[in-house]
Amino acid sequence: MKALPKELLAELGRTNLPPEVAEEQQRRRARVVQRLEVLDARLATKSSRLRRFLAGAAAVAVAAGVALAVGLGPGARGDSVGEGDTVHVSVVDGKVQLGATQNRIAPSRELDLTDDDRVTTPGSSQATLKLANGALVSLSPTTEVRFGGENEREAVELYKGSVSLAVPKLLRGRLLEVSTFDTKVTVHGTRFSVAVKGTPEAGRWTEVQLTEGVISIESGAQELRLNAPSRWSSRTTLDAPKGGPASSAVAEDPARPVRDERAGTASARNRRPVEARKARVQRQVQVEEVARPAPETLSEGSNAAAAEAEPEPEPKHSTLAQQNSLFSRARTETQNGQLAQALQSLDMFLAQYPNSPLRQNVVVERFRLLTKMGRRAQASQAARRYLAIYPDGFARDEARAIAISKP
Amino acid sequence: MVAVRRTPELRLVRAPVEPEPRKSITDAELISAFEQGQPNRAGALYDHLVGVVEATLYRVLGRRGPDHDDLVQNTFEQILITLKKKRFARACSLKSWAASIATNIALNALRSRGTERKFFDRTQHSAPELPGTEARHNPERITAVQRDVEELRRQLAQLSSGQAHALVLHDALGYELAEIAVMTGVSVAAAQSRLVRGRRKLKKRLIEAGIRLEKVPQ
Repeated sequence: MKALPKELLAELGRTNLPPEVAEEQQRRRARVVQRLEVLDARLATKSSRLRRFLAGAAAVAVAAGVALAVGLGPGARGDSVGEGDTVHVSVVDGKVQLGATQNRIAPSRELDLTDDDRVTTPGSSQATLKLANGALVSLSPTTEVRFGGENEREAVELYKGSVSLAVPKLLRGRLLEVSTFDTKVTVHGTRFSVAVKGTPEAGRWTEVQLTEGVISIESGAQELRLNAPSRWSSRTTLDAPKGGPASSAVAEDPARPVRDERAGTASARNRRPVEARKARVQRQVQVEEVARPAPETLSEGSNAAAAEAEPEPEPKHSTLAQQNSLFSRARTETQNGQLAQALQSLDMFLAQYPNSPLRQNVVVERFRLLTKMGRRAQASQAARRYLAIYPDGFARDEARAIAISKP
Repeated sequence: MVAVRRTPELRLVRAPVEPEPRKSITDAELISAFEQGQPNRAGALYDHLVGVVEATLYRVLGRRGPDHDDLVQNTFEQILITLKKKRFARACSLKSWAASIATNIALNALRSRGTERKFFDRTQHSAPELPGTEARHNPERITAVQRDVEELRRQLAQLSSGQAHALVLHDALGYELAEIAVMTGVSVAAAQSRLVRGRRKLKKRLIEAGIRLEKVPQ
């Protein structure tokens, strides 16, 4: 009968361990136990070292996290405006002066400013300050500003002169506000300029020119959100009659519609332009206040002269409502049989709004009206002009028929 | 002559004191002793496991060679390391775990001996122990079994580690497949596969080595 390897292995397992001399056993025991104790101690040391390393690594990680949170977290940094009591700024370049004191603060100095501290640039000197959030504030000569804010909001309050700000990417939820006497501009990631125009006697206003990104503006009881490119003036807003336009924001590009979007509306949030997203990496804020200086300060070479010589640009208004109104009036007059008045209204429209998006409709209505009035020659001429301007226009067949018709 | 009757002299003989039975320590107590750093834990570990470790080494290797102390020490070192690094999942008894480690070390020693044997055949000079009490009365049988078992060890060393491990643990040391699966860290199916394939391969090798596989008389 063939045996299986299993049986041979079982025979192996049945092998009895022969007795051994007790001294040999004791000797072996002593040797192995001693070796085990040494190994145990070594492993314990190694484990302790590993635990200490892990604890140290964890502590370093926690410290790094805390430092990161303190350094970058909203309001967590002691030198930020989040503490409320003091605002930490550092003088990067130039010399500044604190309040009424004549002590000039040299570069590389750290300042803890209270709410009462106003920073001025004496004489013709310029200075650059760095805020806790990394924003660089360049003060032009004879500028007076105050730094403040609370929690996640940092504020630069401009009293006199002009400042230029280079703002790095702000953390989500953090704000930087630049406020003048009547306007507060909140940085959302953009490039814009703010200017205070006029004189205290004749009246002052603030103008905001937005070139990139998105800003929100609060003026009086109004708060609106601007998308680039657009321009806004508080003068028109303050002077605007009740029921008039909500603001004087106009689009810089005539081809673009007017950006006048109320903050907080869903449509405004959804229409954030691509430029604003691109501007998240580096946002530069240009804030400029040109205040009319007192006569005795004119000799100090301030910007006032240039500001006075510069013609004040007329604020632009959105004319789309007027265009619609005028075109509707012409059509109503046509329907009412007031053809001459309707023709007059259409001619007025074409004269006032040559680039209007309603221009094609107006031209079509005009040659139709001329045809209706029996002025075929003029209607034919108007139709040919229409075909020349809009060869693929929606009324090209009708215009072609009128153009070739015999007067 | 006067016979003097001597009165028997009695002396008080103190009865031998029964040594206190050594308190058996459980696996949990032993592991806890290492976790808490209790004193004399190394000695307790040795006393608890030396029996199974030495028996396993001896059964696989067939003798107490000159490297026996080293193998015992290596086995205990491995056991200690697994305890300290908490690799012992307590899914089996500590003795089973120790047997598995000892088997592994013994098989490694068998392989290294196979390499050595190419140059120094020490088996001729060592006196192998008798394989079993049953065969001691038949010298011819003793010789045959010794030869077969020695060839078996040689062929075990030629098998793959997993298969040899499973064969020794199951067929020689009598552990169940489930235990072997736990001890070797594989599934039961894998352990069974190793066992079956190992048997098949071992049988083939033994036949090729000229071993007549007859039923061993019980």
